[in-house]
Amino acid sequence: MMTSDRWLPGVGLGILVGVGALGLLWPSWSSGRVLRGEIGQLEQELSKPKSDPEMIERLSQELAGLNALRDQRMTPIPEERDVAGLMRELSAMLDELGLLEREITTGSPQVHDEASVMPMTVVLSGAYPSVAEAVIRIESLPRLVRVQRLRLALERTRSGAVNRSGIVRADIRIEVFFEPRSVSTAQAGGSRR
Amino acid sequence: MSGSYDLLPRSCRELVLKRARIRRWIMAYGVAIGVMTAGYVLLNLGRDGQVQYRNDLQAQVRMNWDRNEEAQRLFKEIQDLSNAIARYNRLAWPIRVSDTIAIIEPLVPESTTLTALTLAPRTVRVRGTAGRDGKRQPDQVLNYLAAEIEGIAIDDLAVARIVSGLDDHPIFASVTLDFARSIVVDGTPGREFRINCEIDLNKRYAFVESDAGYEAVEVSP
Repeated sequence: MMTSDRWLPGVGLGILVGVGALGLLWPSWSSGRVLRGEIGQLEQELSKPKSDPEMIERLSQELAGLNALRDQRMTPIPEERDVAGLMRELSAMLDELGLLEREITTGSPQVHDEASVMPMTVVLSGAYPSVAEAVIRIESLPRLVRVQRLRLALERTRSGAVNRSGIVRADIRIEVFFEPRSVSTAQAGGSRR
Repeated sequence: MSGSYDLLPRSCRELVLKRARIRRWIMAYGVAIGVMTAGYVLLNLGRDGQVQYRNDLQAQVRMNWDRNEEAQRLFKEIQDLSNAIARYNRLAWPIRVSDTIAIIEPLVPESTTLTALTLAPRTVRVRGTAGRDGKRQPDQVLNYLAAEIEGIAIDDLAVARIVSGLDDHPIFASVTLDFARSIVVDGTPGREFRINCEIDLNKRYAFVESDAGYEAVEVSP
């Protein structure tokens, strides 16, 4: 019969080996496998096409150029029609220029491919410098306005003689843009009227 | 005849055997501990280096992701802005009527009075003609700003000066003298005239103010 002093050390050794394998070797092997897996995934991720700093720099420069072009050349197209705001701005500007003899009418808005348009007619009467300044300011409004027709004419006297008063009549037909829409270039190519 | 005789007493023999057994177990424990320690050391050999390498890779991947995100954001912004600029170019005229007036003003001699100035954009659709290969070219849309200048000049020379001034200016095209007829203003004979000209709205212009006046130059679209 086997005595306890013979089998007990064997059991102890078995426990030692088991605890050592499970508590020491297995976690090390397992964490090593996870680490190698992570490294493999990261290396694979790094091998994918990437944006290099030069490309970012190039894109940033291109964007800066476009922003400069926009700030220099473009007037925004507002989302809202805001007729009240436009009329307020026009009236204040014409009052400032002393052009009190005036008539402003608006037409029905039309929907076009790339934006909606509200036609507007401004008829002014006044000294040429003021009228010319009014035309400049109308075209410089902080929203896109396109002049569709402008006629500046010296007011005729009843007798038909040359008017020396220097009073000029201006008929300005403009289109005020709002609600910009994005359409493809191909679609928009023929929309210009 | 040969043979070995164990002369140890039984109790001594058992003690010797027990010691030998204990030594074997100690050796077995030692070997087990040694093997496990070696295994542990081997498994963790270079682990710090690997962790550092993984961390470096992670940082590099994160940097690449950030760059890709930045590039995508820039791409989108460029695309949106390009679309907005293209739309603006299609909607807005490349030249403002106030710029046109500023260009015409210095071309008119002091002795001449302008009685009317009309500026209106026009669009003409030109049908595409058939090419050599028999294919019809696409229709062309021509946009131009038509200018009609009316006034009274002291003589034909003054009228001619305006016509040649417009003709020589790079932005005006198709300059025509509609008429120049006699008129008497307050007993003084003069010439009443009307001039037509056009500005191509399919081109882009840049404006500069110089001592010579307000100048427009054509730029690439």
